[in-house]
Amino acid sequence: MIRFGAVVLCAAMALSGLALGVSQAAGVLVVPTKAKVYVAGREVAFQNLGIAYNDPVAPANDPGVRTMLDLVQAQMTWQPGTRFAVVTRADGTLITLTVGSAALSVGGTSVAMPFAPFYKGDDLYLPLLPLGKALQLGVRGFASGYVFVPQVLAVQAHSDGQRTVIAMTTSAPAAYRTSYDSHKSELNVIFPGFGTDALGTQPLSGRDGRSIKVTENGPPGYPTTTVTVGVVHGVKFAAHRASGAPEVEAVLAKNESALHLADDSHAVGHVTRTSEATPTPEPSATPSSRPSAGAAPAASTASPVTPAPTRAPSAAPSSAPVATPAAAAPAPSGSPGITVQPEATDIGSPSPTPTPIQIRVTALSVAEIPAGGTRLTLTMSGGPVNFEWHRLDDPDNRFWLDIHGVTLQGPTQTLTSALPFVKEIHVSQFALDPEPVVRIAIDPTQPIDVNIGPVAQSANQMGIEIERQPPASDAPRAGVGTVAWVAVATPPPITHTATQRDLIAIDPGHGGNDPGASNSGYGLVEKELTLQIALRLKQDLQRMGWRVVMTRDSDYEVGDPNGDDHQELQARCDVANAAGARVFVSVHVNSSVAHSLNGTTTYYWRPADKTFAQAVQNSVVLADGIADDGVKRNDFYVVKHTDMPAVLVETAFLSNSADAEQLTRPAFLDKLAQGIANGIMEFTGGPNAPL
Amino acid sequence: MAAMLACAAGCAKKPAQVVQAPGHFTVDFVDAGTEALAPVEYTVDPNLRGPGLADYAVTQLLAGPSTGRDAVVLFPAGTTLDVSLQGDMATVDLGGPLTKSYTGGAEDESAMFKSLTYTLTNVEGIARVQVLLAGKKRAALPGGHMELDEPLTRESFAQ
Repeated sequence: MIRFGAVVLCAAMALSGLALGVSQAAGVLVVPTKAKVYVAGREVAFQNLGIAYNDPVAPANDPGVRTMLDLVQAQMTWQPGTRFAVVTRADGTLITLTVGSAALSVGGTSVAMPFAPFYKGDDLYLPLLPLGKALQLGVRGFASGYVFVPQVLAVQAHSDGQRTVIAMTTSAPAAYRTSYDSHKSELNVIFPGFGTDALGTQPLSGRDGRSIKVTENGPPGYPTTTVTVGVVHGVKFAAHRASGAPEVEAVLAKNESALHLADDSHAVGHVTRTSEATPTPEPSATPSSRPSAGAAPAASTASPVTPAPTRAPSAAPSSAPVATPAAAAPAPSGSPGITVQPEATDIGSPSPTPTPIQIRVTALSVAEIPAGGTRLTLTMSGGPVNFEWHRLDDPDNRFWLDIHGVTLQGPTQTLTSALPFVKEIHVSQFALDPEPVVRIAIDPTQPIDVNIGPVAQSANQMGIEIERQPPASDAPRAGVGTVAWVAVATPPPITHTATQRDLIAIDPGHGGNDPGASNSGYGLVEKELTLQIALRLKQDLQRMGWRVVMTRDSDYEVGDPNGDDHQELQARCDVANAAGARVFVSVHVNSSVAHSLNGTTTYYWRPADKTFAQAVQNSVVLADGIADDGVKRNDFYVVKHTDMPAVLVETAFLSNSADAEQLTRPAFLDKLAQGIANGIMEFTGGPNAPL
Repeated sequence: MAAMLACAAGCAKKPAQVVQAPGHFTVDFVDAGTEALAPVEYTVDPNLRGPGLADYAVTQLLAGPSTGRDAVVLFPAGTTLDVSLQGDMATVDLGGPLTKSYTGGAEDESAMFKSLTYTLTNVEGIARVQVLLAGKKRAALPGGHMELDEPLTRESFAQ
């Protein structure tokens, strides 16, 4: 609607612009400049960046202007020869710049500028600093360039008695992440690359939270804004992007239903947690957080590690440029306060694209570079990938790299073998929501230089080269970049019709007047066990960043209680089909008159689902430690009438005394749930992997 | 070569139907320890075939093995199975407690219908088995897992 309006407006303006003589400002002196411009942490390349009246200007049709707008998801409409350029901001607000007018209009409000847009030849030159301010960016200059920082504009809370909504308005759609500090009972919503003027602490009225604190850390050119919400014990909370506006909402409520999850099915990165849980394994990603290197098993020889390459990729082949965060990017001279130097690799495109969030790290290898140094090679299932790096000054020298939109296939790895300049490299799944982030933390033995880029002649391999480098006090300490490859792997086709890539359907078998199997000797009833396992599974999946839809979450019949078995089983399928779940898992407990039968079996029907069944079977057996009865194809209703990959897990035999004994233990039910969750992760690649 | 390719494409996995020698009939019970099929061969009147042979087969299936084999009858006491044949399909009207509720495991349920399906498809010309519950086509046993509103074949079962 808004965009349509902008087009109409522009068309009208084009007519009025025809009569305009463009020579009136032809005398403005524009001095070409090599100043650097950074927007949202990225360097933006301009063709005709100039200085006029001491401020940066660029033509409306300059690729740099287009990139600048792309990075904050704004769009410009302008026709050569017309008097007006109209920019539609991410929140829908129109910004109008008018030739000869030293005021621009922001949503109808006039805002003064130092000078007016002007024509020089056929080019309409726009003053960039007022444009950045109108885009609600923080504008921070330094001697050799200009930094435009997206902002957390406002943090506002309101409570309706049932729920408390904390709305965090941003100047551009934010790639935020959340963490929960169980000791302080604090939810942190973290906006890397965002600054803010909304600093401070405010009390939170209502019964769900205590306070809201807004802080900004990190270098001014690439700051991180954190909104910390003190949560009352036992309150459930979720964070998600609001629809229709660049805004992130944190919702707190005593009851999960009051979170209005159903209304938020469109939300990206939805995760629900309860403040009793302790789901955050690592501290938030402030530059001072030390990677927890000792937490993971030493796994330098673990399975995902491929044999080390024997040949160096000639560190930075010209066809495969490598970003050099610490060395190649000179610090802005004369401005010690600005430490950002975001240096992206050249991916052959004038406008960096957001990282597609569907990529997995499928293998890791580490090798010594013959010329001196260490190279870590990550094999990706696709690309390109965006990354963000930070380093600490000497003598600490630690360096870490967050690769966004990427999941780590396999366990966390700590590489500790004797490598030049490196004590330890820790590779972990740092975050899963709102987007997966793989963190590579390097603990060096001395100051290092790190080169990041594609490995030559190898599609989808990302090389991280660690070389010795004397410390430079003015070298940048953070930046971002992109690695792209010519060949990009395509994910295997999935023939089902799931539409929600981050939604899992869980079906706890039986329920209500259908108890399923039972073993009175151990007090086991199938319908109770399936629910207990399913609720654990739900929590595990939510911790991994999934949304979950349950066919039942208590002891009742699914569908019409008076309906027949057809309605009952079809109703379970309907729940998953209607929700467009990505996969369907029916949880059962087996039984047999043959009491010797024991172990886990995963059933499927469609041949295409065998891979899913095998993934679940493997990880459940690994987790539960009981007999592996394998995957079986069987004519079970719920795996036939669901529209997505579907399996039915018969977790254990309650008719077998050994299995039954295990089923009485909550820890065993935990293992079953974790096993199923891991199998889902293995098969799908995670909640952000493509359908 | 062509035959080999065809086999690679799936014929090896297709459950084989036992060719019954005249005067012999195999009833597929379920082994008590493994729930695998436990075939027991019966000597029958060579003139017994078609519906009569099918009726004989389900009667033996409910009665249990007459030999000393360690096989079990998974159909609960009181179960009735009325069989009729049409074309390549046997229709079995199941009566008794199973029509009210099923409280066994998926493993037993699968083995139970597998033994019924395998036994009836031992009758020459029969490839499919449609199960009715008390005369009506139903999606599944109450509390059951297997889909019953479509005919079962040997391929319906865990392989």
